[in-house]
Amino acid sequence: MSVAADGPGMRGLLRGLSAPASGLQAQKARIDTIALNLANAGTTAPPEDVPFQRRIVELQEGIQATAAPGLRAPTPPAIPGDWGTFGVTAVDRAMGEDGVRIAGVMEDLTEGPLVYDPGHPHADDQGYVRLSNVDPTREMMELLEARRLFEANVSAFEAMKTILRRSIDI
Amino acid sequence: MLTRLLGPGTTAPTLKQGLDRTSADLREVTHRLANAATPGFQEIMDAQGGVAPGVNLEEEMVNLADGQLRFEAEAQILQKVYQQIRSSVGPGR
Repeated sequence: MSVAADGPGMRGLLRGLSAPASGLQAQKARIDTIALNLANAGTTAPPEDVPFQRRIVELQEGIQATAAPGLRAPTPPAIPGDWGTFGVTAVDRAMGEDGVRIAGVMEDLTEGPLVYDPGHPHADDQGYVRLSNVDPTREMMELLEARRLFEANVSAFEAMKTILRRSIDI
Repeated sequence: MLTRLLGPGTTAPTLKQGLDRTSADLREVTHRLANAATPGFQEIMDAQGGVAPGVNLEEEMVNLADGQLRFEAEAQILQKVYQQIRSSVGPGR
């Protein structure tokens, strides 16, 4: 843990809002990514192509990001900036020394299930279709967690705002 | 004269230190809350007494409420102290 030493005073108090703000932004990015995953859960692709792969928001306490094994940065979208509801700049931006930072959005490289459906336009020679690797149950669980953490950060933001206002009244 | 009212050993600097300490504690809490989903951030004791990665959300929310109340109390007492000093140095009515 490394909370920047600011010393006492108003500056330290004002900076106190940055940690909960970064937490809100991080959880919002997670919720957006989960929504993107769920929206693409049922997608398929032709046999020579790879279907949609689950996206994961990588969170980090520090500034330097290193990709976890089995994950890689997603290929840029055909339409620049079309990553869903969050932009590349928001993902890449550092959010101050306190709090959390979005290191990037990664793709889960595990293969999705093969389903026998010979009539499907994306079926291979044997009649199998490769589905996306999004597991809706896991996504819903992650969504619940992200939502609760978002609420916890809202409370933290409110608390810091209250003490900031209170200190002005002294 | 004023040193005896506001100088070291009086209530005001102690309360001021308390406020600084409480706001620093609160910043630590908000930092931990922001990193509640960060992999490898810190380790906590799990229900079986073992060590598991993560942040104890319930404990941190209690710390948050506790810090907020402590800050409120210290700020209120400091306000009273300043009020007393103000009325003792101000013009008599």
